[in-house]
Amino acid sequence: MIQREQWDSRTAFVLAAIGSAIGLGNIWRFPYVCYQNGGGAFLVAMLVALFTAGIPLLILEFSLGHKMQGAAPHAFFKVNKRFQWFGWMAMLVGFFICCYYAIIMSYSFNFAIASFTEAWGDNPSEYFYTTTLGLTDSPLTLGSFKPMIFLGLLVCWVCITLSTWRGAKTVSKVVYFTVIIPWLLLVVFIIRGVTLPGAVEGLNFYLTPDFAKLKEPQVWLAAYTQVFFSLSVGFGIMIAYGSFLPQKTDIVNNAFIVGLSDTLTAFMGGLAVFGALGFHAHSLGKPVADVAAAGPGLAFVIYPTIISNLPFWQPLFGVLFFVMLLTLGIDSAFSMTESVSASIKDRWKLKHRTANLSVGVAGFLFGLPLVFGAGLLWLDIVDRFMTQFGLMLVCLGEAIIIGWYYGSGKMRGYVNDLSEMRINWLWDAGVRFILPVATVVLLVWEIVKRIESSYKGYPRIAEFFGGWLVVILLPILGLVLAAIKVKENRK
Amino acid sequence: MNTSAIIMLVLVLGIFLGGIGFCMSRLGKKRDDSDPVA
Repeated sequence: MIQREQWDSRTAFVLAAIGSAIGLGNIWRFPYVCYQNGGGAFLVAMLVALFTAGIPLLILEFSLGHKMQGAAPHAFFKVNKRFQWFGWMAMLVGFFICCYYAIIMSYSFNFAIASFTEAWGDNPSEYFYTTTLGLTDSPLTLGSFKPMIFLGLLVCWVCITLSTWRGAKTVSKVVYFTVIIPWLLLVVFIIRGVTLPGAVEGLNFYLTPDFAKLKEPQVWLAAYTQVFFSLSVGFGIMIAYGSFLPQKTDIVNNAFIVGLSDTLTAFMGGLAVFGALGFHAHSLGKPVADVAAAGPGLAFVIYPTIISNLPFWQPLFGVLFFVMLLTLGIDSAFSMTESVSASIKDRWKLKHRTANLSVGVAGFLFGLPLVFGAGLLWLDIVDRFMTQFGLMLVCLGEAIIIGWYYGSGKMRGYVNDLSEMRINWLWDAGVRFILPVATVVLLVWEIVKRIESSYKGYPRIAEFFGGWLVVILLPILGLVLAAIKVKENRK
Repeated sequence: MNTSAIIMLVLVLGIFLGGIGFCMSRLGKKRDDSDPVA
């Protein structure tokens, strides 16, 4: 049996897990999803989702990885060999997300360079959508090749691959930089964001819960998927990370620290963004709800607005901020690639570096279609389907396999034997009932909505190739990868 | 800021900071205190 790598220290694990959880999901994705879903109401739904699904799943994934001592495919294989395909599927969800995640990091790379001269001038929106992306009006119009996005993508994948070159040991060192520095910078941006003229309007929009909005299933669906995305559950990552934990570890405590720190970071990032949105609304004389396009580009329009309005050293803070976004992206992305390469390594007994390099090259190639003018539109479609379907299906599957097949009581016993903070029947209820019911209801609702109309009115053909096809391919590829193993075993 | 927004801000920060503080204070307790092997 291969001796598994372990974290340098418990602090390194907690920081790595927080680093994996804190990422673009908090600073890039959370603000626009919150903005799209009514601000304050979304916050309430997200808190409910965190405690009913996010943290219970985090405990489940840590304990599964720790008990089975392997990444997702190996862990589910040990539950029952028939479930190995599901482990591969979870890992593939993480991999596909990582492919478009790297594109967002490439945008950050470009904005870090642009920050030297504040190239966006007084119109960050125009600069982002037209100059940087050359955005087309339909995903079917491919647009021009963007060499700088390509270069950014290449740089990101090199950084991701190098960050995990020596496995958990390298990660243990890198996280001290990629978790602590971003938090310090975030504090600067919060202070500037909330002190801008008109920021109060944005903060009222962000923090005042409109309870009528909670009747809309879309808000709940967005809240659950945001929590899963942000905590990196349903990607197979936390299963792999759990497997690197020392034999003696407090799983429940770790899960709570990671879950709470991650959501706190998103909340704090929201203060900066909504403060700036209030400022934007104040300048344009428009309501906060109508001031910006609520989509994946929001962060690249709003953060430059804050940077330009800093009282001094704007280029320095600009560079630091986008380098921070880049490092946040890298530590989330290397957790995803680490999970994939750990799966490959476990399965084919490859050397760590061979597995790592293969994953890096594959991730880079899969991201290439997104370096054209229509890239952001395709990214929007893939993100919607990977989070609303891919993540939801994996989380539902985990809840059923562990909650019902393996036995939530058995897993709870294992967790409680290790942890000082104990979980009780409420965790079982969450895993066995609340999570499956919530995910099934939200999945059915989303399917009905997508049958009624395409996402954001995108052409059906684009929705099929960027969304449905990718989701359908997940279990099929999972089954194929699992089947390869069966054949080799017979030899 | 309006009252609802202030209540929400205090509530959310209280939940997160209180929760993290509590968990941090318990970090490693059982392993250090009760593990006879250690």
